[in-house]
Amino acid sequence: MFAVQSEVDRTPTEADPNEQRAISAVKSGDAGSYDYLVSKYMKRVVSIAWGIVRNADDAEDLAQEAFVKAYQTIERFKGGEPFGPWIYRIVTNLALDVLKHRNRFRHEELTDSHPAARGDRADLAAVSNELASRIDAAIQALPEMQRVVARLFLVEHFEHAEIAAMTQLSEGTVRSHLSLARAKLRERLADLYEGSND
Amino acid sequence: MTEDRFFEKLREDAARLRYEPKDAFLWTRLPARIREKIQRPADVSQMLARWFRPIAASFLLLAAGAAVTVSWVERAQSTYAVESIASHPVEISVDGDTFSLTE
Repeated sequence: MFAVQSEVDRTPTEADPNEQRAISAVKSGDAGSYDYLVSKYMKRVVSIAWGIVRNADDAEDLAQEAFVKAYQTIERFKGGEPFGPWIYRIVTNLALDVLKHRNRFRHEELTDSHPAARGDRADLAAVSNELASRIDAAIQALPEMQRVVARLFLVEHFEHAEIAAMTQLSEGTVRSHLSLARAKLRERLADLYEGSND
Repeated sequence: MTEDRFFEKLREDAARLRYEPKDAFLWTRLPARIREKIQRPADVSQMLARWFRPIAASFLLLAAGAAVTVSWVERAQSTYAVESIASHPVEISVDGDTFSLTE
């Protein structure tokens, strides 16, 4: 279930003439051209959503909602800019809204056999590698925003400024969350690379 | 191992945690769901909203323009009245004495 994604998905900020053509076509009313953008970004969008909500069905629904929202507001999208940061910001905000909603109704979830945690465990079962499991558990044990920021930085390899734009936090706040997360992760995973020659 | 090196390695290893289901059906289902949503013909309320939004915006602009015009005209008229009074001094004569209201 977990795998390194293709390099096409990992380099969204590079200029892509096909992407710009697709955006222009969509703005002109050609909905079919939106397929190109969906195909290019859907894997990473789903991964970002899943990393925050930890539930496969919710992640798929959020990805769909993000792409539909981006399509409906594409007139506001500035031409010449990469589509990636924009769709990542939309999906991150939608996923954070889901977390807020869950927190608000946490007591109801707790009496309902932990539905979110159930999905979480089901997906975690696919992590066969012990090292990955330990890192995942350590990240999941962090407080909410530290967890979100740490995951975007460590797992999705976004930089501080990108995370700030996606989460609508200041870059300083992102660095602060990350610094606290680093301290806790170092403590919890201190033995992880023992014996390593690095 | 230094702290920076620890986190570099952690970041390399954490990349394995990216979520990419091997379920090929998902990667065909998701674009299909999106396509279905964005290409669905607009319902009556959306059609009405599409028509009424520009009309409402036009009325709003007209109302704003009218409000600005009225306030400008009123201001111009009151300025004219003050100038008119100032240029026609009122003089009152009582018992042979003349009093001017502007002096």
